[in-house]
Amino acid sequence: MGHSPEDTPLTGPHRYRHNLTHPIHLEADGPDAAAGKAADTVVSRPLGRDSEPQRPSLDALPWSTDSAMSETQLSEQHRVERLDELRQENDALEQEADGLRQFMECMGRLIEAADRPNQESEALTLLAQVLDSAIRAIGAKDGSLLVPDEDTGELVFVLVQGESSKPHLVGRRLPAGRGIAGWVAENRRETTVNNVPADERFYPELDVELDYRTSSLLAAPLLGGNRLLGVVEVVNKRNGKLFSTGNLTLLALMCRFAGELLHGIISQAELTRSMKRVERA
Amino acid sequence: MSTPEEQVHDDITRLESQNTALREEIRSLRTFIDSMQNLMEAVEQPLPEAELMELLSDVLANALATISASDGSLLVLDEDTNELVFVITHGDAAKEHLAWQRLPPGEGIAGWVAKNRRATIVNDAQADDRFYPALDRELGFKTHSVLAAPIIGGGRVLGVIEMLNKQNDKLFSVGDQTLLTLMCRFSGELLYTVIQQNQTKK
Repeated sequence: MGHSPEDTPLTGPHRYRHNLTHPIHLEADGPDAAAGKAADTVVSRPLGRDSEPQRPSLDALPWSTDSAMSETQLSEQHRVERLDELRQENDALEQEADGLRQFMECMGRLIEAADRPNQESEALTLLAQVLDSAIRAIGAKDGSLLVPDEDTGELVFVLVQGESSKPHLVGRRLPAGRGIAGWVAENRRETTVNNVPADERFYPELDVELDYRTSSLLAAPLLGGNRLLGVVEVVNKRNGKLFSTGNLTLLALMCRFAGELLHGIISQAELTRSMKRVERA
Repeated sequence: MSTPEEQVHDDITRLESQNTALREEIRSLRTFIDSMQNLMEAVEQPLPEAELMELLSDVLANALATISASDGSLLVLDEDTNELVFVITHGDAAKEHLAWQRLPPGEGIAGWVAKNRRATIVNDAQADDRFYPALDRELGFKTHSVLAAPIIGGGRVLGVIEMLNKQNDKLFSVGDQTLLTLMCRFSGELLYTVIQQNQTKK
């Protein structure tokens, strides 16, 4: 994770140096340089948002009307800029931390759910929560869960969530091995596709039929006890951004964890059922 | 009322410390995620039992790095005797002598964790009823704080991970406990799958 300061030209404390015509002493930033790591994925956040109530009005500051600045006024201007920069950094860090916290919460909820008895009927509720957390943690618009029909080899859309929710998609089937989800199921590995229409694995029929536009996509297998239980797709990153490697890692981990825990639930339930059959006999 | 200048100064101080805390939180979560990812990748290939140990050692090392504790051990449950066996130890203090020592069933904080199947934080170990002081004495070690979580896979307790003495004399937090719980559980489920595969092959 070694990031040199050059990697993050927009986030370091030095960004304002270029704007200043007067030589100003900037405090050495020291350990703060590490912030670049956290912020480099979110630099495109809109600046100057209106949620800054504590910001002093520009008119209240002497230098805004006075072009000949004294030493103290200069340092005052410098402070205001430093504050602005810190706010942007704070926004970026908060955003990243939020995604990670969502992920942790989801993992925590999975454990709790798996530890409750009689959860077999909850398996789908659990997966719906995972899907929801994945969509939010990754900052995507939509997502779906596909489950293999072991008789036909097709993948069936079982859950569809997100803002442009397409209920018609539920119950639809992808022919065996077709689509990006089919590829994921076959290869048992996750994938990122940031230009879906150009990808040869893409199965465009459903988009056409449902009048939907898939532009970017993340997909990961739900594996439990070495069996493929399903495929989770997260579709269309927000604000026209691309899915990152970090996003893919989060989805892959969530799916793997859910898969292993779910597998436990399923085999536990199977065990309980067979136990009851034995009891009745 | 504070002047705008003072307000700016206060805001800068506040944001600086907030950002430092956020960076630390992100660092810790990223370390955690990286180690989970390594683990997930490692079990993709079939794993001989010999390499399982290495994997567990990595899990422990990653847990120490994520949580910033100085020492840690991984104990495996001996299902025949119900004792917990110290299998791997890591950390600042040289504690090779700890390896293969056994905790009698239910003894020690680790024993409590295995029995109750839940994680615990003990920030004053010497004062805790569950603490098993015999090993400290034997090894000339001083346990101050303990964070321990069960390794559960396929519904069974496979072992316990213990973190000892948080660095810089800090206390273990609930956030640390969540991280260790998740790490142990994820490792447990993956290990259980690997162990089952190995058994089917035999």
